[in-house]
Formats: sequence, structure tokens, C-alpha cells
Amino acid sequence: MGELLNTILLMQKYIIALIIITTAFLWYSIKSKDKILLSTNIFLVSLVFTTSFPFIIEAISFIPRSIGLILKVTLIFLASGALFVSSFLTYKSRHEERIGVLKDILNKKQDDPLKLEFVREVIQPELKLLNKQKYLIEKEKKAVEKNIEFYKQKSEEISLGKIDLKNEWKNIKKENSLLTKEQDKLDELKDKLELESKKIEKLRLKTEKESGEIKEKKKGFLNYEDELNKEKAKLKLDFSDLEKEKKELSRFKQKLDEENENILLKQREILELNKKLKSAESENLNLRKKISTLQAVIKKNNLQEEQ
Amino acid sequence: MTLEILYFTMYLLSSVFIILSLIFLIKYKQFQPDQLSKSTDVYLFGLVFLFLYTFIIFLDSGKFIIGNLFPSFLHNYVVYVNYLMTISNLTFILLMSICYLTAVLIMKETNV
Repeated sequence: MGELLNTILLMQKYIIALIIITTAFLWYSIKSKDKILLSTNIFLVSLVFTTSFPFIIEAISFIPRSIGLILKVTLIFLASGALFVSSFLTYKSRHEERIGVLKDILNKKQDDPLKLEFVREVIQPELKLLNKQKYLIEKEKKAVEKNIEFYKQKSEEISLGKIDLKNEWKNIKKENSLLTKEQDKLDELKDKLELESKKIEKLRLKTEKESGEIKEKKKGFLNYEDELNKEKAKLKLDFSDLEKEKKELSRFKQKLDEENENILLKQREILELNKKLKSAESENLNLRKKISTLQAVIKKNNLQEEQ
Repeated sequence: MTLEILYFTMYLLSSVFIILSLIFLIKYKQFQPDQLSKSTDVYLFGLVFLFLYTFIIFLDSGKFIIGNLFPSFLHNYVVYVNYLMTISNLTFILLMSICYLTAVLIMKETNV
């Protein structure tokens, strides 16, 4: 890095020397061919360029470094000193010259040709311009005065309008305050609504859950209802069968009643028959007794005969 | 030591002279015509670079004073000034010479 920097610096020294020499030659050529404005201070500019000459020494290798350094410092010091003295003196002389000219122009007693020329060339055209401007301003002033009256009337109208606007403004302010109150209320309501909406949302979620459950239950109920309907249909069928059976039973009952009646009749008949039978039995008993007696008699008779 | 003091004084005076020259040249600019203002500005810029260069060398040559007055501060001062010296050697003189060349070229163009 250090070597590279040294190489760059060495190269740069030659480049700088080349640029400075080119500048010097260009300046000399311009100066010698009178291509410079008369107002250019050649000496001062030459001194400015001279301040760069000490840096050529660095590029000259045959001068020892210590002597080169002393030469460079001395030349910089001399060039800058000379430039300072020259610039100071030039500025001072020009400044004094300018002050003198200005004083001559301002001196009333002395008729300086420069002063007359200044008046003729500078002040007179300015005066003409000023007079023109004055005439134009007066014209404008008249126009403005006319306008002022018109604007005064307008301003009165505007002031009336302003009062109306003020009243309107007050009304608007009142309305605005009312509106703000309403707005506050609305905000409160909005907050409440938000809370309510949150609650509703919660409720909705709950109801959704419940509705889901209800749906499931409903499905269950529907299934149950279907089963019920099926059973109902079955029951209807059974009922119709039962009714048929009932009818048959009623018919059977009727028959039974009839039979009962018949039985009752028959029972009565049986009772009568029983009575008759009992009577017959009693007769039979009597008869049997009579028979037995008869038999005994017969037996006795038979025995007697045998004997 | 004497040589160091001499360098230090000469660089200090050179810096002062250059800055004063700059001030008077800027003041002198009002007496010059507008055609010259461009080239004047450019060589004034070149002088600014020259002032920066001399001022940094002046700081570099003032090492012995810092060494005597603030010995503990010397190391940092030397490091900082060496950086400044590297920058000034690389840029300021080159820029100054370019500014002077540009000023001459502008003069050649405008004053014909």
C-alpha cells in the first residue's frame, strides 16, 4: 500500500509539473498575443499562477531533497507574500480611485466632465423613465380612485353580508355544537350498538350452536315422528283390525246375548225342567219307595209261597 | 530545531498571506468586469486549495511545539496530521494546478 501510494505520488508530481508548465505557457501565449482585456490585471494574475511554480521543484530529481524543500518553502513564502502585497496595493489603489470618482460626482461646486457625462448618460435617461412612470402612476391613481369608490360601495355591501354571514356563522356554530352533541350521543349509541352487536354475535353463536343442536334434535324428532307415524299407521291398521274384531265381537256379543237370552230361556226351561225333574225324582223316589215296598211285598209274598 | 522553527514560521506566514490575498482578491473582484468573473472565481478556488495545502503543512511543521507543550497528545496529533498530509499531497495541489489551467483556458475563451 505504501509503495503504491509513493508511486502514485511520484506520478502525480510529474503530472502536476506538466499541468503547471502548460498553464504557464498558455498564460504567456495569451499575454504576448494581446488577447487579454485591458481591465485584466496581468501582474496580479501572473503572481497567482506563480504560487504554483514551487511545486515543479518536487518533480526535479537532480535537486537534493533538503535543498528542494528549502527552495519550495521559500518560493511559496515569497510568492504568497508578493501576491498579498500586490493584491493589497491594487485593491487599495482601485478603492481610492473609486472613492475619488464618487466624491467628484457628489461635489456640487465642481463641474467635472465625468460628472456631466454621468448626468447625461445615466441620470437623464433614468429621469425620463421616472417621468414616464410618474405619468403612468398618476393615470393609475385616477383609475384607482374611481375603483376605490366602487369598492367602498362593495365593501359596505360586503360588511352587511359579513354581518349576515356572522349571524349564519353563529347559527352554524350552534348547529355544530348540537351536531357535536348528537355526534357524541351517536358515538355512545354506536358504542352501545357495538357492545350489543358483540352480545348479539355471542348470542348468535350460541343460537347457532343451539340451532345446530335443535336441528340434530329435530332430525331425531323427525325420525321419531316417522317412527311414530309408522307406528301410528300400524296402530291404525291394528285399530281397524280391532274395530273389525270389535264389530265381530259386538256381533259375537249380540249373538252371545241372544244365546244368553236363549240360555236364560233354556235355564228357565232347565229350572222348570229341574223342578219337573225334582218333582219327577220325588215321584221317582216315591215310586221307587213304592217299588221297593212292592218288591219287599213281592219278596215276602214269594217267600211265603215257597214256604 | 532552527530549521523546524524556520519552516513553521514560513508556512504560517504563507498561510496568512494566502488567506489575506484571497480576501483582497475577492474584494478586488468588484472592480473587474463581469467577463472576468468566471476565470477569477476559478483561480480563487485554486488559491483556496493552496491555502489548505499550506495550512496542513503548517500543522505538520508544528509537531515540535505539540511535542513540547502536550507530549501525551503528540502521538494522536501525528497520526491525524499524517492522514491530512496524505490527503493534501494526493488532492489539493493537483486540484490547484487544474484550477489554474482551467482559469487560463476560460480567459483564453472569454477575452478573445
